[in-house]
Amino acid sequence: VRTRILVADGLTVFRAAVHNVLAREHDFDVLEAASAPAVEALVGAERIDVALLDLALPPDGALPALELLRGAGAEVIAWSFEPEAALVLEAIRAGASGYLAKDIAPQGLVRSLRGVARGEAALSRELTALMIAALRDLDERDAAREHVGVLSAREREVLAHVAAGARNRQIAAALSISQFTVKRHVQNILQKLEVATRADAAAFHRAAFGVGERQTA
Amino acid sequence: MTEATRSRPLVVVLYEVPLFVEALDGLFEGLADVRPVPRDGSAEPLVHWLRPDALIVDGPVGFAPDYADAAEVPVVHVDLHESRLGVRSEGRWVDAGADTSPEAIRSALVASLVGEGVR
Repeated sequence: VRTRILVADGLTVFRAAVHNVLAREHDFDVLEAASAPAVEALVGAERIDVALLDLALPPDGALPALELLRGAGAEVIAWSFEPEAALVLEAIRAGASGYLAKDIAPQGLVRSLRGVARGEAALSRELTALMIAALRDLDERDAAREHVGVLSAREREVLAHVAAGARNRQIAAALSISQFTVKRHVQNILQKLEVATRADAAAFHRAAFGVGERQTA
Repeated sequence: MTEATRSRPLVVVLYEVPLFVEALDGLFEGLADVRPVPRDGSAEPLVHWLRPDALIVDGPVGFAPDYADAAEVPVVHVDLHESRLGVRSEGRWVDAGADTSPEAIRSALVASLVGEGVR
């Protein structure tokens, strides 16, 4: 059985390139789509085993098409010029089986497509580096969250306000407590987290919960 | 093969993305001989040695404009990141639009080779 590959890419050059490369192989059929609507039309009409999906697929990027393809049972490899960490990891979380950079050699592309068709992941050098960095971030986040766990619920509330840049007066108003109490909470927070300044405590909160995320429970 | 013994123009494809070369496979059959040259340290001396009649460049243009101006040959520049096609002829760049398809590249190259410029 020949593997049916969908190349979903807004650039004709890449669709033509993959088409030409796979035409020399004996075990692939190639479908092409230049946009998410074109992917949608093919998903309903054709069997697709593996999709090579451009992260910048018109009009809104890869994710809508990725969901459609995964829903239809296709394996998906995301690809792009530059491995933008957030986009690549989002694609992996959404079900992509791997990531390839577009400067991949033709033989590498064929090998990856065959591997994914067999159920393997397409772990390019770029994706491996991104995954390791993401795992490290997760470890750091877990450690920071564990550390924040020594704070009382009220102290965590205060810390969230500190991380958002609020002054004691503002925190007191928000939590309906006195500024003196806020000051005492802040001192306790600094002591428990073993940091010297409010800025350090705010950084701790960001490490634990990310920027802009208010974790008060 | 020297310039004098060529039966067809020689086009060097100076590439950064290997798949770019694959996209051009067969595109110039009967029109020109194509020689892919990867963009590395030996690219410039190799291009000087090959003395092509035209260059197609993907990625940064690098030494291509200087070579082309001195050798009086056209360059077709394909910017895949920005999706722009440009043609350099007689020392100046002309924007050839947003169509970077293989067919558009061939049209731009053929037009510049026969001296029609880019429309």
